[in-house]
Amino acid sequence: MINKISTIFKSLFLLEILKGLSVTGKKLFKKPITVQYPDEKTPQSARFRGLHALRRYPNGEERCIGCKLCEAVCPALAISIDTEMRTDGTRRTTKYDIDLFKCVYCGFCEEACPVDAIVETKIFEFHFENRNEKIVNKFDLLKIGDIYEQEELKDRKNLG
Amino acid sequence: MKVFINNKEYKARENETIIELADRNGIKIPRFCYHKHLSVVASCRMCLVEIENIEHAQPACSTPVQENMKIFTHSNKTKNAQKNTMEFLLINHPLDCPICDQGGECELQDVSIQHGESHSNYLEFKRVVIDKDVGPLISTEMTRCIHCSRCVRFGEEVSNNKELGLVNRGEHMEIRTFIEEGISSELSGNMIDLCPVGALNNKPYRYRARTWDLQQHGAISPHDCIGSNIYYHTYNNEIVRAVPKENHDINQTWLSDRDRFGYEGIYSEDRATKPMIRNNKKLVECEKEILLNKTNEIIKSTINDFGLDQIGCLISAQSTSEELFLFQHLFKSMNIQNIDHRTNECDFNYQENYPLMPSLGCNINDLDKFDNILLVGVNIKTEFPILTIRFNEASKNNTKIFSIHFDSLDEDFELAGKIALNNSDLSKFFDKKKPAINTNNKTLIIIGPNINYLVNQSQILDSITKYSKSINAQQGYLTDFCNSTSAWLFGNIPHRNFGGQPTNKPGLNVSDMIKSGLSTYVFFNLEPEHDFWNASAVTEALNKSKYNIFFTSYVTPLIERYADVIIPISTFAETDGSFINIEGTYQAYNKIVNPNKNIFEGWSILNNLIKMNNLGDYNISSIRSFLLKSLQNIDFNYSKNKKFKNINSKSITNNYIYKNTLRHIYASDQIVRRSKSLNLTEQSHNKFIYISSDLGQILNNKDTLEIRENNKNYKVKNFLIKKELPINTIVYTSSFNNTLNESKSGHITIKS
Repeated sequence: MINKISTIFKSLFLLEILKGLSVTGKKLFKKPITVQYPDEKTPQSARFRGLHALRRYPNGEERCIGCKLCEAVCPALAISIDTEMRTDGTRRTTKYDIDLFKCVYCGFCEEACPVDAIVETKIFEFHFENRNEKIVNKFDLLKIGDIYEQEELKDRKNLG
Repeated sequence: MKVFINNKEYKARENETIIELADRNGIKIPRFCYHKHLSVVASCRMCLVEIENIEHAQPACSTPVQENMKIFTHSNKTKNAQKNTMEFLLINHPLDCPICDQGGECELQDVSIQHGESHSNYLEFKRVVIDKDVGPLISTEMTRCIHCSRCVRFGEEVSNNKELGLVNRGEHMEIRTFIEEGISSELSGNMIDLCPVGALNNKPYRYRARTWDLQQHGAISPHDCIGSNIYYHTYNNEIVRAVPKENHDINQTWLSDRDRFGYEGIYSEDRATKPMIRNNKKLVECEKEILLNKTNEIIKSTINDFGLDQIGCLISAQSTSEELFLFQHLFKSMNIQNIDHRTNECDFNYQENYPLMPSLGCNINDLDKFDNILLVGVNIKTEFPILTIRFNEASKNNTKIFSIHFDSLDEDFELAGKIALNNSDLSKFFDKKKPAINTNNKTLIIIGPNINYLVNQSQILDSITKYSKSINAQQGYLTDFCNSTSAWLFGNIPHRNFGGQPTNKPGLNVSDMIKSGLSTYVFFNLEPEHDFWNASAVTEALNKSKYNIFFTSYVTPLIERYADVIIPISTFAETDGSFINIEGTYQAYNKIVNPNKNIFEGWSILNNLIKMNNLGDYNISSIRSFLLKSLQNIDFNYSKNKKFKNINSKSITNNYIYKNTLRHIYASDQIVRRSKSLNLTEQSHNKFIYISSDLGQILNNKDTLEIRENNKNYKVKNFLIKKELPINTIVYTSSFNNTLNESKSGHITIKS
C-alpha cells in the first residue's frame, strides 16, 4: 500500500528525472575532462606497456644475451630469436624480431628478461604503411631503446 | 629378497643398491654423481634417503639393499636432507642459467626446482674457477662444476684414457687436465652428456639454440660399420648437435666423437646444390627432367654404341641400403655386370672365397665372452673408437687381445701382445709361424679394413682363413664403410647378384674398370680424389672416358672437371634410409632434415631412372619390405658350403719397400672429412709420413725423401722415423696427404 503511494508520488512530481538532470546540471558548471588529442594527452602509468625496445648498458653494450626466455614465455609467439657466439666469446643475438600484430602487449617478455633488456615503452601511437613493417627487428628495437632510455630510467625510479 | 620403498613391497636382487632397485621400478631419486655405467663414489650426497632404524639418511647409490629394509624416498627426513644438500651444491654454482647451454636440460636445474629451497642462506662471495681450453670439441665453464667426477670416472673406467682429474682439495678442488694439452680422446664427447651441469658443453653447438627449441630425430650413425644409434637435434631444419640414443646391444649410452660431430660435413660449402649437365664443354644448370633424360640417354647410347661391358658402375658403401639395392637393380636389370663398391681395394682374387657378407662373427655384446681376440690390420682407437669401450670391458673380463698390424699403434685398452709386420711377413705369419693358440679356447680373429688396402690382401685373407679353421676360431671382419654389409648382400659386386646368387658372367672389379678405360663411368656417392685406391689412375680414366655420370653430394675439383652429368643427391641425413651394421642388424631411420629443393633423395632419383626404363616402381616402404622379406630367404651359411678356390696373389718378396696407408680417423668418409670441428682436433694435425728406422739409415740424415712409384717420382719432406715400424715400410694416413696419391699400398723404391 505504502509502496504504491510512493510510486504515484514520485511519478507525479517527476522526481527521478529531476535527480538525473541534477547530475548533468552539476557537470555543466565543472571543468571538462575531455582531452584534446593529439594536442593534449592523458597521463600514463609508469607501468604502461606500449611499443617494445631493447636496452643497452651505459657503456653502449647491448643488454640482450639471447637466452630466449622472452621467446619461450611469449603467449602469442610474437618473438623469434637466433643466437650465435660473438667473436669475444659472449652469447649474442643475430636476430631479434617481434611481430607487432601478434603481440598482445602482456609484458611477459619484460618480466622474463633476466637482464632487463627487452622493455615495453610508453609509446602507444605508432602505425605502419606496409604490412611487412609489422615486424620490428633488432636494429629498430635498439634504436627505440636508445631514444627512450632516459624516460625508461625515470619510470623505473617512479616504480621504486 | 623383500624390500619396502615408501611402504610398498618390491622384489630386490642380491647385492643390488637402493638406487638400482628404485630405477628399475620407476621411483625417482635425485642424483648427480651416480651413473649406471660408472663406479659408485657417493660424493654428491644428493640421493640421500631415510632408512628405518638408521639414524642418518643414507646415500641410495652406495647402500646395498637388505632383507625387509624399509626405505622412504619422500619422508620429511629425506626431503630435509635433499634440501640441505641442494643448498650446499648451489653455494658456488653461478646463476648464469640464461646463457648456459645446459639450461633446459640441466640436472641441477631440475633437481633444484624439485627438491631445493627458493632461497639461500649463503651471502658471501661465490668462488670462481678459471676455464681451461680443452680442445675444439668441448667448451668448459669450470665455475659451474659441482665435482660429481663423472667425467673423471668416464676417462678412468670406460674410455681408459685418463686425461681429466680432480686436483687440490676443499675450496680449491677443481677438475682439470693433468697436462695443459687438452682432451684428445676419441670418445671425449661423452663427457658432455655425462656432465650434469653446464661445466662441459658441446663447443660447436655453443650458443646456437636452446634445448627447448630443438627437435629430436632418431637415426643411425653413418660413419662406421658399428651402426651406433644416435639422436640428431635440429633447429630450423638444420642439424645443430647429436647425442647418443641408448641401445644396449650396440653403443650402450655412448657415442664416438666422429659420430657426434661428423654431421657438420653436411653443411660444407662444396655441397652439390644444383643439377648440371655439360653442354659445349661447360657445365650448365638444368631442370630435373632434362637431367634424367640426359642420364638415361648416356647409359642407353653407351650400351648401343659400345656394348654392355663398356659401362662401369661404382657406388660407395656409405650409401643407404635402399640406394644400394636400387643402384644394382637399375644396372643389373640392364644386364650390366660392371658394378662394384670396393673402391679402396686393389687385390680382388679373394672374392670367390669371401663369405656372403662381411660380419663381425659374433654380437658386439659377446665380445667379452672370448678367451682370445686377434685384431689383424685394425686400430680400434682410431678406426672404431666406440668399440674401445667393448674391448676395454673384454680385457677386464680376462680376454686376451692381440694386435697384428703393419704399423705399431696404440690402443686405449690393454693389449696382451702387439706385433708389427710388413706385407710379406703378414701373409707368412699365419702360414708358417702360426701363433700358438689353444684350440679349446674361444678365439675370434677380426680382420680390419687396413688389410683391404694391401696389394697382397688375398694372400693374407687366405692364410688367416686357413689358420682360423686350424685353431677352430671364429673369423670376423670390420669394414671401412658403414654399409659394406648391404653392398655385398644386395649384389653391388661384379661376381654375385642380389642375395649372393652367382652370376653367369661376372663383370669387372673396380681396379679393372679403372685400368681398362671404359667409355662411361657412373659414380654414386664417391669422391674420385679420396675414395679410390689409386687416385691418379681414376683421374686418367675419367679423362679418357666418353661420359662420366656423378651422383654426388659434393662437387670436388675432379668432378667439376670431368663430369658430364652432376646429379646432386642427399646425404644420409636428408633421406629415409637404413643400414645393416657389422653384426647383421638391419636398422632403418627417417629423414632428419629436408634437403634443399634442388637436391634429390638418392633412392628417389634412382627410382625415377628405373621407372623411365620400365624396370619397376618403388617407394621407401616397398623397398624396405622387399629387402626384409628377401633377407629371410637368404642362406647365411653361404661360405661354409662353398669349395674354396686356390688364390694366386701377386708374388711378394722381402726385397721391396712397402708403402701402406692407414685410414685417418677424421678423414674416413666424405662427410667426416668436411667436419670443421673434427678437422681442428689434435688427431687431424698429424700429417706426417712415417718411415722405418732401416730406411732412415739409408737416407743418411737427408731432409727430403725421394720416392719412385709406377715410374713417377715424388719428393716428400714431412717424414719422421718411427722405430717401431717393421723393416722396409713407409706408413701414412690416407686422404690427408695428397703427396703420395699414386696408390694406397704398393712397392716403391727410394733414392738414397
